[in-house]
Amino acid sequence: MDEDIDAVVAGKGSAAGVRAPFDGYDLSHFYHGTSDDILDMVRRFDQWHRRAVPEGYHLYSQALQQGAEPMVRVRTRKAGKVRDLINLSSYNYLGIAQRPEVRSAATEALERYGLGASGSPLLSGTMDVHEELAHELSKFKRKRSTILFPTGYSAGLGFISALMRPGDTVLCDQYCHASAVDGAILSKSRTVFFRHNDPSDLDRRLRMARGRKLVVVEGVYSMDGDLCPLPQIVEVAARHGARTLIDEAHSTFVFGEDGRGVAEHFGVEDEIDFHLGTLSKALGGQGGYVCSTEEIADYVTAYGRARLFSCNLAPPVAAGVLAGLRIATAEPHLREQLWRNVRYLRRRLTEEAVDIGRTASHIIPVMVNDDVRIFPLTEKLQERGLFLPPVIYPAVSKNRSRLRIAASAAHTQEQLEIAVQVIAATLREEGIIQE
Amino acid sequence: MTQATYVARNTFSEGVGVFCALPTEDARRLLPPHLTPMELRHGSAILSAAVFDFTDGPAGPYRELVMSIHVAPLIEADRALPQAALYPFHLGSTTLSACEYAIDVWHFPHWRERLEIRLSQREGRMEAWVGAAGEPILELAATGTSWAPAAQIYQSFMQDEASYMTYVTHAGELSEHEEERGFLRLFEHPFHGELALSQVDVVPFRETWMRSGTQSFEQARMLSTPA
Repeated sequence: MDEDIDAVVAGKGSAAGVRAPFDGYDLSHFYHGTSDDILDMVRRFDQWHRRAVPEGYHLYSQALQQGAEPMVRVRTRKAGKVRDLINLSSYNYLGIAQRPEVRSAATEALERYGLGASGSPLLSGTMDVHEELAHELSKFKRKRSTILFPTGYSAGLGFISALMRPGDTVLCDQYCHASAVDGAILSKSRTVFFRHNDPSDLDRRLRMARGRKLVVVEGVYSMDGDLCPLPQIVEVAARHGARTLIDEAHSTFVFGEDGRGVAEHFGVEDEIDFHLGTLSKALGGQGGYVCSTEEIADYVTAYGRARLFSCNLAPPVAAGVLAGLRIATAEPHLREQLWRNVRYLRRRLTEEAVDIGRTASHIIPVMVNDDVRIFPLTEKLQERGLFLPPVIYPAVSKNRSRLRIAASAAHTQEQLEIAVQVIAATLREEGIIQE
Repeated sequence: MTQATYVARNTFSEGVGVFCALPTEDARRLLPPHLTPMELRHGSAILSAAVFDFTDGPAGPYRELVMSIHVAPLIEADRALPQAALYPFHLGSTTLSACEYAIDVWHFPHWRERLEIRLSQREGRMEAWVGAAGEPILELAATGTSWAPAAQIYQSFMQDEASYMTYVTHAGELSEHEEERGFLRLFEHPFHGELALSQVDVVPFRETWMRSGTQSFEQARMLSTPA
């Protein structure tokens, strides 16, 4: 053992018999260190990253050679070869991004407005297409007003930081998206995390909370695909006089009879103050929005710096998303098709003894639970025709690594069956599934 | 990279640790001003409670409780980046010789009376009870999952009249996971000093358990930072 210790201490990396994937480091190690020069940590990261790439980090940021369709042409980073793969990773849940109506609307907007909005939404960047999109989103969500943001991230960041102040408390589910957390930090409120989907822990923390209180949850959590126990959360928040924000980025157009999300699914839409969503998931575009009241929209227009100091959504994107919204509301069969695909995938993966965690949605994690073996496993899946990058610590808990399937209405059953067979066979070969 | 030179080595049969969140402002109160708490997430620092059953070493066999706050590591030009950096803010041992050794040689803030530390293992779970004169100080439990050989380098910061740092390497069979199956119960006791017990999460976000291991210390060195 001494030899192994010495090798590791000397920075020689994995010693014989010692489990030291990526030399014993991961992304969490290069975040915070003490030195005189900013570049000291950057250089350490760079040294590590250059070694980590051949071991598996080449599976990230691989460039698609086309749009996010069920089959994608990908240039692999390792071999530099272009390969056709079944795409199980892109959002585009309803398969709308590539629809001819969407392409036409975006193309016409490009002709009419040009490429960008050329201004802040407060000054010159608001065009009629933005107003129309906001109006139709309000109608769809049955709310009085909608405020648009240039990205989903800026919606969470900008909305929360516009409303909350030092002395207030933002209480986030521990698995909330970075945009909500960063919004809370930016607001200089006290940021408190309650245990995932645990109303009793929220209750305990609300009892200790100071100032004005905002509870932030998501409809569907993006790493596990599980739902928020919304009725219980809303009840606890109301009992403590807290306002509630729900991020339905992954659940709008997927859950609820009319597709308004998990709040509709549980029948608690009116008990929630702020409904946040994105235009990049089910609609396959870009942008974010918050539906609430006119008073809130006006206030956030004035104080939402992430929006105020950004250029507005590009008009071709706004027009394309507007066309997508109309398709999503007029064609409920797309949602039904998505759910048929989800049920098929979940059933077949379960039949093949694949661990799909606690999913209750169209986000289906294939649990690998090994931060080392997931990389060669993913590489094999790619060689066998699947595009499904790994998700590892610190994005998820240590050794809770997974392949995160994003089902789409655009997938054919044949594509899904091939995917299931490839995943199951590869997991068996790697000993992840044991008979 | 500089080759490590160890000046002390303990062997241990069991080393079990739980990592829990506590408010960053509470962690700051326990740290010397030159150290910065690492955060699990914004506003939440990391407290670890670890119990070791040492079978041999310079202070002989004994059991030890180590309460630490995780801090930002010092990046040193000629050394590998450590896997973690800790400020042990309070230790306690079952023998007075271990206590004296920890204070005199390693500058650790140490409880000066003998602790009672009981370990019990069943069904892949290790539980520890720590007390003094029959009064409980803490109970913890960690579970084991998959085991593999591991060697991990830490920086340990110490402070008495001056500030010190040393590298410590733990090597052995390790189980480490974040499945939230353990617990940490802290009881009102003078041992805890300024630690606000109610602010420390009861459920650890990470559990580590090392068996048949060695704990190797390099020479502690004084830091130029004022105490």
